[in-house]
Amino acid sequence: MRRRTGGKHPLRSRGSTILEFALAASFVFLPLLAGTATVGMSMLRSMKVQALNRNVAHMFATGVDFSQAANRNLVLKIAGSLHIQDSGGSGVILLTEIDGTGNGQAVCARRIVIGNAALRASSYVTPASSVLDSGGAVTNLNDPSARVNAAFLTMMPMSQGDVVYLAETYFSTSDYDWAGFLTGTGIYTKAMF
Amino acid sequence: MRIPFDGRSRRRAKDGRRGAALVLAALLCLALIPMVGLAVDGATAYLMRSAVSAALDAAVLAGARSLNVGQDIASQTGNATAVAQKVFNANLSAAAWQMKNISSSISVGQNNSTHFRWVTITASADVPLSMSSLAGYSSAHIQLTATAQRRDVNVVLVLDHSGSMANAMSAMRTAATDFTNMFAGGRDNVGLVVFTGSTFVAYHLSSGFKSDSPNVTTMIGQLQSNNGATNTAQAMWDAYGELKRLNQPGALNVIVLFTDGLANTYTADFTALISKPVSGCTGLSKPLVGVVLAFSGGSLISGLSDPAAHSLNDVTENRPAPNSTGCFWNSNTLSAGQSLPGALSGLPATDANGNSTNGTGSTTAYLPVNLTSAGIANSYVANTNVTNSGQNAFDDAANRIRSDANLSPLIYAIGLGGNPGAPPDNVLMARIANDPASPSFNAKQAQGLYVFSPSTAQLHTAFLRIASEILRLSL
Repeated sequence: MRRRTGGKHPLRSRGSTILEFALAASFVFLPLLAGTATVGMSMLRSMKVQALNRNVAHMFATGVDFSQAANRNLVLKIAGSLHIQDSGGSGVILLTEIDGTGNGQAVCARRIVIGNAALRASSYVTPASSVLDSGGAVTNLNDPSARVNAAFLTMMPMSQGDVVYLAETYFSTSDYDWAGFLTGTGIYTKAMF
Repeated sequence: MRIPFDGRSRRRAKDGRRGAALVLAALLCLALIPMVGLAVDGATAYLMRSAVSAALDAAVLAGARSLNVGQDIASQTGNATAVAQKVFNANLSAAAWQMKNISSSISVGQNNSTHFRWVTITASADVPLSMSSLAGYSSAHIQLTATAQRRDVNVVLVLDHSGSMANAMSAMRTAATDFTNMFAGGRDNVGLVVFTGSTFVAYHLSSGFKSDSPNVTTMIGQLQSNNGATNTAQAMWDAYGELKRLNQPGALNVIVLFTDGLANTYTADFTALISKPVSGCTGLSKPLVGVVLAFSGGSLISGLSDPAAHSLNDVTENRPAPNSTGCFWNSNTLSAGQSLPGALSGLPATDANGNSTNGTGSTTAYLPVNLTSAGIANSYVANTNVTNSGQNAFDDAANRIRSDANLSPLIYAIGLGGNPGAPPDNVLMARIANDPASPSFNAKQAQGLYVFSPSTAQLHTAFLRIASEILRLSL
């Protein structure tokens, strides 16, 4: 008599399906989900950082003095959930006034830093603290540290009398570094007005 | 007819469902993949649009700010166009590789009645699309326009050239010249008032400050230091008079003061204070308006000098005030029996322009003053009361100027250190400018800035910083 086996196969299939799903979920779906979430949150943060940088750069270019506590507090409020403090936190905003001096050269005339200065330096100029006054103005424009580098001048050729207001913002993404792939990375954006 | 339903037919049905799921999944993919593709294309186009918009905003602002560079309107327009293009390209560089056919057109306009000029940029680009190209849409066309405007600036530069400036004149001339060159000839108006004990409008507020002969830089270049007191209140009022004469409420009206000294005197009408006849006076006429001279370290005043210089470097310290005809001038000898101190019953409560000398005007006194001390004690007007009155008049003048609701003038101040006699009072200077860092900051008035330059080495930076502030506020 032929033994009927049709009743056992579905049970075995069900078990293997669950196992396969568990394996697939562990190795494919969960990392995919985590990756999607990380990319999504990073993109959201990136958009926030870009919006913050652009707003601060615009204000800086139109006369807001960010050496004043009240105006710095305004930036902290705009930053909202980005976790930035006046001289600490997870991000830094570097505001630079760059003046063209002729002969294709340019110098930093003012530097104001809001946030955690240790996170990142400017990509273009870092005036020595000894030539900065309390308002962020560079007191000695002839100091070598006040000169902007060639990368900036390539991107933005400067003539004598030209003034550019540069805002660079960097935010660490270490809090999203769940899998260890984002160590040392962050969001950097710049705007020139 | 009943269809038999046994295990074999069930298996066949299952097999059939397996095949249907695969087909359904494949069909679903056919719908899902284009949807995902459209989402990616849409997001890319949106991000590129945002990038172009951000680059446009930055470019028009930089272009409008650059409208001040150049000798005439044509060169300013050309410069603004070039700068706007550079800034647009620089800001778009990070996203440009994802776009094709990027183009931009820049135009500059102006309105002479409202005192505004503007820069407009229209930019367009094509964003390549991936999935949409299957439907015949290989790219999305983006076109955006942005405009930024610049307000014309009326700025009166007020320069101290008193005796203490002797070693700083060269640095001051260079810094002041570069300062004026940062404004737009033909559109902005620049004026020049110079002062010691007397004041002189060296160049009336005019848009020809670069093209005139002599122009404002010519006058600055010829400026020399003269002996005399520091009549800052009168100089500020002369500058305010220039702004009122032009009367352009739509423009950005600014006074920029530079001094290395304490505001230690003022111009006033002393006619009513002559308490007794002065022997030897002949031909005394009224009004008797002069600059009361008080010397640092002294306990008395020596006379009334002419409040008005007749030329750029006119020395008035030893020239009697008009109408004094020798009665109220003692040639700075400080000898016994001087006629002036003994003849005055006190000091005036206001200067010649109505600014309070003792804090009874528009603002409380910055320093205490006893107006009636004249004529008592040793019959000399106390030096302290004169210098304090000078500072109070300076303070009140600035407050009244800032209170002008029609012109809404801004006051910027630059102080220079290194004067061993009577250096500027930094607290008062910040108060004059209504600097936010001042304890007396008045949020209801226009916010200015005080910059202190410890030595001449920092003077150029100080002037440029003030110029940058003004030019940014013009946007």
